[in-house]
Amino acid sequence: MKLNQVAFAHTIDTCLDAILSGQSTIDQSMALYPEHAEELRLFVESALWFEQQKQLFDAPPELKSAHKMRIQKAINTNNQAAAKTYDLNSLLNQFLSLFSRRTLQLAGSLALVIILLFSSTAGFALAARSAIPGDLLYQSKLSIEKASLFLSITQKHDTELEVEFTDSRMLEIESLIQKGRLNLLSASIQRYKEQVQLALNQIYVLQETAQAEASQIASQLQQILENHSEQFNILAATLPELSKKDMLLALTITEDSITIAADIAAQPIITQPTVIDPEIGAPITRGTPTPTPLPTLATQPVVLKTALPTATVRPSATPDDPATRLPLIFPSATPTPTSTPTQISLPTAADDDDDEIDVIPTRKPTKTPRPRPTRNPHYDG
Amino acid sequence: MPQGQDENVIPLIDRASQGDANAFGELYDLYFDGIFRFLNSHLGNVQDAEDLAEEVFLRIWQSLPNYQHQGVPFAAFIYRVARNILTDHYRRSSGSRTEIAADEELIDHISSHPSEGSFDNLEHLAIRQVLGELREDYRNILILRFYTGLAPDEIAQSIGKTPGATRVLQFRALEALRKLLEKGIGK
Repeated sequence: MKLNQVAFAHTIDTCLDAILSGQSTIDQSMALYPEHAEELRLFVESALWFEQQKQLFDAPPELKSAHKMRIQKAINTNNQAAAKTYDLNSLLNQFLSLFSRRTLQLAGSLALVIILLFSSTAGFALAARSAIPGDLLYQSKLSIEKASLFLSITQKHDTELEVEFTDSRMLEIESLIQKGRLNLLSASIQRYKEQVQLALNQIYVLQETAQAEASQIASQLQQILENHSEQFNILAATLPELSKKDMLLALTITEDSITIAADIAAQPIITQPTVIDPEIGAPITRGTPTPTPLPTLATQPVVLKTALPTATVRPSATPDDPATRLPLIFPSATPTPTSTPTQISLPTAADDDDDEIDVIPTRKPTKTPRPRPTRNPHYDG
Repeated sequence: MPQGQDENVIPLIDRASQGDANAFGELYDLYFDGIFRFLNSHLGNVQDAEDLAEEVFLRIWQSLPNYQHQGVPFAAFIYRVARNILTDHYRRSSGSRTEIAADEELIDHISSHPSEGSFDNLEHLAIRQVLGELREDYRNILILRFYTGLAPDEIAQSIGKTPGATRVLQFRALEALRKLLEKGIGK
């Protein structure tokens, strides 16, 4: 009876195990399978010839001890460097591991934020700042970021912070890979994606009130993302195949965002021309300026220039209104198509005979500033 | 590293993952020979094998705190690390040119120094020829099975296949090896 390939492969393996472990000789093994002995012998003898060559690849005797010393030296150097940066962090991790993670996350997080913000424990803050996903202090780090945004008093500073946090997310990914915590990579790349999205949205918001500053920050973000792209490419080369897919996602996010940031950075800054009154030869003054009523944004969508589906920014009357959530530049699930944005027709002089100043076109409708508590729904949800 | 010692190495892994360099030294002693042979047989170059072995052990040291999450025996885990580093090395040095160069160097050396054409050199040339003729996955499975001391199940986990699929791959690799030997390659 002829054995099928799987059974024959199993038989060869069984024979080889017995022979290599010294439990039987070739002849004894062949005797167990008389019908297939002839064919089996060819395979077994080939395998044994191959096995006998292995000593040709052994390390030279003098190599091992020198090699081991080099490894130990490298480990010690590595340990010392790591100790300088993370010593406090690991001590705190050990201390905090005495408590349940959930308790710490829920109850301790707020207390830690207060301590970090208002005490002079610089080392503690430093340790939290260097925490990466998987560290107990990581939630505290995110809380500190959230608190920094809460305490920020200008939109420009908000935007700068969001851009800075983008860089932090990237550094976290890098550290995770260096530490081999690849199981946390996918979630960290998702977090990076959300942070890039928050930074871009914040730039769009800033653009409505301070276009020059928004362009400048967009240019900075573009540069940062270009660095990230290079870094992701390098990191991808070191990863196993399974994690490379995550890294490709990170690269796609980065490349798309570079285009968006470059677009914003390149937009011309529109300044209001001074209109001279021909009768008095001086700029027209309008007495008490009447505030321009803010347009309703719900009917005037802002189109984010991206290949991905567009989204709209909607103002909200109440902070809890889901409509106040930021638009998703990178949809996490199947994108919901939005209606094609209505082309905004710019007013012309003929449209408005009030005076010349009103003729200046507004490139985009002014957005209502978002209510503070919902500025970063990412952290809330 | 003898087969089936994972339980014995667990305490060493635990200590090493907490930063105990001596425990890591013991792990090094257990696995160095196999790792070096694995790299050297793939690369055919002692110097490269030495450098990559260093890289492998440093990477393992850095990855140890997370090893328990990998869900594979430690031996399979370290050969997976070694395989990844080897792949990176091939990528950096444009494929398998290193191996071809190594063979050519060896042939040149033996031809120009016939008195040094020792048994070892000739044997080395023979196995290099065989390894060079084998498909990459066949070469890898044979090296893992016969040069590293990994158990069949550990090999399966190291290459991400089921034990059955691994046995079939080994069977096909042996069949290819047998045909090469019948053709006189390697002998």
